[in-house]
Amino acid sequence: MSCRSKLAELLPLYAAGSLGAEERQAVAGHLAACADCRAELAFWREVASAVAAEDRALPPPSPVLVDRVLASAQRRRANPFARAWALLAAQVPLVRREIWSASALVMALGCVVAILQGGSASASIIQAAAPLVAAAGLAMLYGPDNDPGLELALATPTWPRQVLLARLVVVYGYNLVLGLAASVGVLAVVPPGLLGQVILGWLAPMTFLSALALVLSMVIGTGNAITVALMLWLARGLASGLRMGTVGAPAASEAAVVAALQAYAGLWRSTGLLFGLAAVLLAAAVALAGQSERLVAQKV
Amino acid sequence: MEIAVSQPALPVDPDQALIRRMVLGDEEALRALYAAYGRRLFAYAYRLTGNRAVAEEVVQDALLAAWKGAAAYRGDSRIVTWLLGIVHHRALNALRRKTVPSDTLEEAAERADAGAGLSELAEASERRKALTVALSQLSGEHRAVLDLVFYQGLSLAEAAEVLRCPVGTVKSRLSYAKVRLRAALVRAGWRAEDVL
Repeated sequence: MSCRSKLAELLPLYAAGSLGAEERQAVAGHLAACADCRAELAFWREVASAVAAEDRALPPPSPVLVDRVLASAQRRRANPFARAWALLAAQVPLVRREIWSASALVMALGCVVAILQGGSASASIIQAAAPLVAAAGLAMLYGPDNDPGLELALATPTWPRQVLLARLVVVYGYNLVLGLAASVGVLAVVPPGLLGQVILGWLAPMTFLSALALVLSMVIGTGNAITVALMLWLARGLASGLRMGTVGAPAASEAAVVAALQAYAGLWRSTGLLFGLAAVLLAAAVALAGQSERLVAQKV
Repeated sequence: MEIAVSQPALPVDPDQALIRRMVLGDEEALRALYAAYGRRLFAYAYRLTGNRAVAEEVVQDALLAAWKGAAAYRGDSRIVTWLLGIVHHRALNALRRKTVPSDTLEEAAERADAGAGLSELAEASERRKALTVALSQLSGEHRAVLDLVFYQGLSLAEAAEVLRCPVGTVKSRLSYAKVRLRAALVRAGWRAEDVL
């Protein structure tokens, strides 16, 4: 009695109006030719009408149901540590996913190269890579091109600053762990007593460069921020490698340039200065985060 | 007259912002979600469990799960599909944990009468009443599938996602429901040829 066509199986969906255009046309075409299916469609239309009417007429659930949900959610989060942890954990899936894999990959590569290099240069490879990797990650933290939904969410009275800080902690913490792991890895070719020195070599530069990249990303965009950080870091590398020529007396201008470059390289070795500047930049980032117009401006 | 409960899935779901806000802990977003979808979620939970009190518990559980797991929502399906999927999971848990007594037959019959709708009572009311009774005789599982298709307005793929089963299974459940409804109507005195 009932039609064997595959299209007959779609009749209830046809009656509900939830088929896509192609399927709908196919069924309509079949209906023109099949009396059995027309009869079945009439039946489904009755069913659709009855079911929709019945379910629409159901008395609604209690309006305080959502209060109960929030109450039990809050019970779990009354503890401020639990709240903070929940906020941090919530950032992990929201942060741009490439950050995790790209950072880990580069640091792993750096570690391998450092070990193969061996000797005193191995530590400096880690010290060169870690700050830049972290800075790139921090530059990708914020802004509509990295997190399109964030702007919508921040249009409401939630806490942009807390979100920024939470993300910062998560990504910086991640890069910190990577740096530590790479430093430990490099102990394969470096005396263990030097571990502290290796770490200090990248810790302050990483902190400063990350804070700088974050602030820059909020003002000039992610790509530009990474470029600036890269330039500053490469300049440091070149300046650090500079040695005064020993052939003949240097010209005055040449000496001035070299002195300036050596001072620049020296800045990167002043731990206190780097941490101090990082703190100032962090405060600036937090202040900027409070202004949501920033996010709109970045879209341009 | 074509019964279109809802449009086929729209490309952009404006409620996605609500989920993002929930991830950030915005309680107003959860309230807004409940205001928009609470009734529908309850309807589905009720159809699955057949018990009002249990259905409310299920919706409460599901909302808490949605609140805690909002970060897991990837936006590749409609909000309602995601939520109904959670409700389905919680409802099955509730049914497994304890035997759920159905609301009494009287209550169900009362609701059946109420569901007829005044404007339609004048026409084909006997037939509609018979159909309503036949619907109430379906198992929770099958009645719930009809809810997904004819009240929630889900597509086949979406229903399959909620039920966590292949599309073929959805089709066969619909087919089975048709057979059962037809049989019930025939038992109630309708001639087979008049039914289908």
